Amino acid sequence: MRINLWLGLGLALFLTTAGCSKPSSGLPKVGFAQFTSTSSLDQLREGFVKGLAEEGFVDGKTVEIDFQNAQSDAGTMSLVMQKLATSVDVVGLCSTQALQAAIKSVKDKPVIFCGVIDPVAAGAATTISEPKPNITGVYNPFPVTEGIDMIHKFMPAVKKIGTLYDPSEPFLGGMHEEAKKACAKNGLEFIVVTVSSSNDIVTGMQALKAKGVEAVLQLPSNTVNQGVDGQIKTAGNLGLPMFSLQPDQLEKGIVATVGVDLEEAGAQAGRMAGKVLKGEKTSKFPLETAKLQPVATNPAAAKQFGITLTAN
Amino acid sequence: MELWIGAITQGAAYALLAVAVFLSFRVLRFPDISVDGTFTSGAAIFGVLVAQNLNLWLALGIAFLVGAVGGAITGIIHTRLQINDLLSGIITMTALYSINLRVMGRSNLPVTGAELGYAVFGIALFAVAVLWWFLRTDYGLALRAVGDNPEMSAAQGISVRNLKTVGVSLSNGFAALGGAVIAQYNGFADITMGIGALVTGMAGVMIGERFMPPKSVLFAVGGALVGSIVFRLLIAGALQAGMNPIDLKLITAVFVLIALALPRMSKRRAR
Repeated sequence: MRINLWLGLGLALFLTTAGCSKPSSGLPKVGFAQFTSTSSLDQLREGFVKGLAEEGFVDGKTVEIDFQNAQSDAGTMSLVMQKLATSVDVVGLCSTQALQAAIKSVKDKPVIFCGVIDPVAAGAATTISEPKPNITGVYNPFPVTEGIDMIHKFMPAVKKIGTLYDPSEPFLGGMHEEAKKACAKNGLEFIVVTVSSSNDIVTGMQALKAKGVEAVLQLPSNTVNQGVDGQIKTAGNLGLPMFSLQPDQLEKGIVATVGVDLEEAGAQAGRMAGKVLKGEKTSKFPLETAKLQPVATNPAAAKQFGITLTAN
Repeated sequence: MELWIGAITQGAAYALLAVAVFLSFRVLRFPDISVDGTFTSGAAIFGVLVAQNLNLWLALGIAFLVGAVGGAITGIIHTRLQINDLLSGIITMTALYSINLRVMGRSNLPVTGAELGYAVFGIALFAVAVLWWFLRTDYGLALRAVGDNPEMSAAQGISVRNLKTVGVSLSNGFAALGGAVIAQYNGFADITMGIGALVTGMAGVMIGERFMPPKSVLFAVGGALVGSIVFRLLIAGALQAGMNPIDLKLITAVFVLIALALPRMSKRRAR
């Protein structure tokens, strides 16, 4: 049995060292880590790579990018960051959990984040203007108030706006408060229905309808995003016009969107990473907000619900 | 190097979870899925208390107690209300999801400040030692008897219901302690971190059994520690191998399979 133990430990060591001896290409190295795979996070990643290229760092040619994905496991997220902390020159990342793991494990390398809604709540900064010395990046607060105003403009008769909400997702609670306030200001009511997985979306939409909701402003949610096509289809069946804060969903049958261009947000972070790679200090870059895209409309979807899209 | 040290430290932290699963699943033969909830509870309570600048060790102790209460509830549901063991765990786990959200006030909490560092090893070894000692006391022996043969135990005058409840409660205490230590280590507590805790713990227990056949109580409990560390080393190895990140779980699975199959295969050849 003792032999077994040594054999096992030896094997583990062998397996783990097997990958160590990768030849060094001599190129500067950038790591990019994400917590899980969603279309939003993937867009941010693509944007990041584009931003780096704009600064002259093309993956495989002038820079080596080490992509990592923790596949939704918090323990793996930590290991990923420990690996990047010693093996790359600049750590790029998207998603809150990745940022938190980096705060813990990456102390002396520059960290550039994107795809984080609230860096202060995540622990990366004491206030928005005071991030930790080796950390900077692009955060994207979602334009909730603008979204409510947009619906109010397009559908002046609406009294109740609703959304689906998964309480397990980081930092979305604040958006609901903001939506409630924006609704109250316009004399509207904001209705939230809880879902705990993408399987609950159809039922959730029916619940919204049953509660008298006349338009849906789907606040960003990874859970709901997984089933957004089903949600839009259900919305069509129920006669509920859908609005969103994610412009990439417009084509799917959303009436109108106002939101952040995620690829551009990733590119903002990528350009920062490029400048840091050229030798500038992270402390030179204040935290940036992702840029807002103007309201975009989908005339076909609007016609389906009998909504007249006013110019401007 | 940091990666390997990190993986070993993390393995020691996850060993607390493996020890918890060992106690419920192996000793009591109770497939207790409430650890999926209490693991997060430990992390949540610990994160909130540390944010209030409470003493680190006191916060760990409270996390243990909270987990133990959760486990006791599962035990009571099962033994007093005669509800199926797996279902009792599911009920507790489901309820704890909402409670954990309430405790944290949101779904994700940064856990910064106080550092445990290498004390993680101390905590894991302490847990192994305590369980080793406990399972060899008369009370612990009765607990093992309850798992092995409840009818026989009852005939010997052991209160099967009480002992099961105590065992499951202790197990969840360890799980919550593990959640707290891991939240500290990872730097955050997240509502999703407990999903799959039972499976992760089982992986540690079973890998450990392969390397340290449970011929004595010490080997059985210590195996949970060894197994967890090996499991984390394998994940670190998969990361280091530098493959497409999409394949991470596949590579991990293959590594675990090889690690489990190799001792068996070498033994066969020796014969």
